[in-house]
Amino acid sequence: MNSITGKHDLLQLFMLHRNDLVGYANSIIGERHAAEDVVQDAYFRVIGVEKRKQDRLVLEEPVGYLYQIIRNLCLDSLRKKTRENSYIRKEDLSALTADTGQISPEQHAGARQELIVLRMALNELPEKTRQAFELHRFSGLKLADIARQLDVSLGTAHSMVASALEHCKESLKKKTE
Amino acid sequence: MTDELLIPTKASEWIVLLHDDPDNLSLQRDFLSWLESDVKHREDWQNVSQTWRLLGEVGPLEGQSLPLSSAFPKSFDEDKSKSKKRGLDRTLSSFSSGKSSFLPKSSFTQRASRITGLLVLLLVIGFSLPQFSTRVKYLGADFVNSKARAAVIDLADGSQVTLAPETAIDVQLSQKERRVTILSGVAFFDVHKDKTRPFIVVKNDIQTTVLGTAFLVDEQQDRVSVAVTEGVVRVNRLKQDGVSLQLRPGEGVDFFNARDYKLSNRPVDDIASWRMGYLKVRDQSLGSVVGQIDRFFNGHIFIPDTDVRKKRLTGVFKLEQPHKSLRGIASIHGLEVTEISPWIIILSKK
Repeated sequence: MNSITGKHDLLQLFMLHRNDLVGYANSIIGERHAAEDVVQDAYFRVIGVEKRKQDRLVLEEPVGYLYQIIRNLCLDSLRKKTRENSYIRKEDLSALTADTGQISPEQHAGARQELIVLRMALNELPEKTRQAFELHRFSGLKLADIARQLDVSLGTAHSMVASALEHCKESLKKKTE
Repeated sequence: MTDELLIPTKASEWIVLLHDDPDNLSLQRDFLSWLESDVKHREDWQNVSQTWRLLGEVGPLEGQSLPLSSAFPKSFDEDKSKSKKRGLDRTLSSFSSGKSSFLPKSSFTQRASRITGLLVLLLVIGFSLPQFSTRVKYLGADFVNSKARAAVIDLADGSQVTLAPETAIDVQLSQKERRVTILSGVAFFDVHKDKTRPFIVVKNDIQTTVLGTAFLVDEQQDRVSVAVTEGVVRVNRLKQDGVSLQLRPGEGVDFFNARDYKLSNRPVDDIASWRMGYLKVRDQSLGSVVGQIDRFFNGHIFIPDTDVRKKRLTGVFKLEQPHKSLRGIASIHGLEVTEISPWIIILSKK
């Protein structure tokens, strides 16, 4: 078996994030069984990549990579459906695949309003704050490591992550009031 | 200048600290005092934990801007065929839990009003907290069951393995032998008879060898167990005292630590009853039983009091209905079930 030296134990990370990942896939595909299949599929692909140690840059953020693969697998599966039974109108599909940052798969009909709100909220954050938050929430980095990586104090790292979350919470609150 | 963290005043500040240092008991106690000191704190906490959880489904924006070309390995098709062989989840679409993980907001506030008089010493921080992940130290196991139900896989030699949730195994079939390593979790083996090569299951330093039979290898927090439902099995503890036992149907052994082990005898149907969707226990500790139910539950169940964990239980529990099982356990033993969120349950003294 490969020995990966890096802080990420992939299986461990996968298990930690699995429910999130299935929820994410589900928000695009709209079908829970298919979502679970996609997530498992994505996991094995990432393992395949790790085993061959290709493109180290990508593998430093395996969770982000998993989200990316899942997104692509979901879009592939939706494209297939379009060809098979015109289930999704062509216009909707191009909206899904446009990578403008404005339109996203999450805006597909059936996707949850909350996720759209949160995505926008994350986008509104200052770059460094969002980075700090993502490192904590998804990459599982400790605050001390985040502080070091972003060259800020421990207290600042903490308040950055907390304020990002606070902003997301407030955005969610505003939308549902 | 000291790099110190200030004492949190908001739920968002707390949740970050709690995730940062999940084993810090005094932090958790401080959090609890904060939580209980004001009803508004509880509301804040629920909003924040709900937001935290939902963000998991949004995913990192950073990761989603990776160039497509590096996202797919060159030998794309090799991966595809491999994942087909391992596609246990594809055959299991009927096993998937259809449980929706979202509840309407109103039921959240209902739960909030039910949280009264908590006697909790430890608290959970987020349902993505790891019981599984602290046990799993391995990459890329051959088979992983990450779903909340049992999964059955067919091995190339004709044997069948049923994996409990949160189980990962490695399989090596060769001319000389058939070897399975349980990296983490619980598995039941229905071994195809093959006199030419023994079927060996290894878990930690416990090795179980068999020619063709059916048996279970189980792990709880405090022990590794082997129990036989059919045929004869030889169980060896490697490295230590060289304990070697032969077990027949109904017989089992629990290995507790480096030295101790205990033999057991149970009706064959009770062994690995979880394969049928229920848990049948006979005089097991509450902590151990809840630990097993937890495996089949999509969240996390906590028991803060040590003496609660030590209580003995006997009974049958339907694994598809963990909430019901927990309430049953609670009512028998005068305990309180508190749902901090649908995925975080605390079992405590009343």
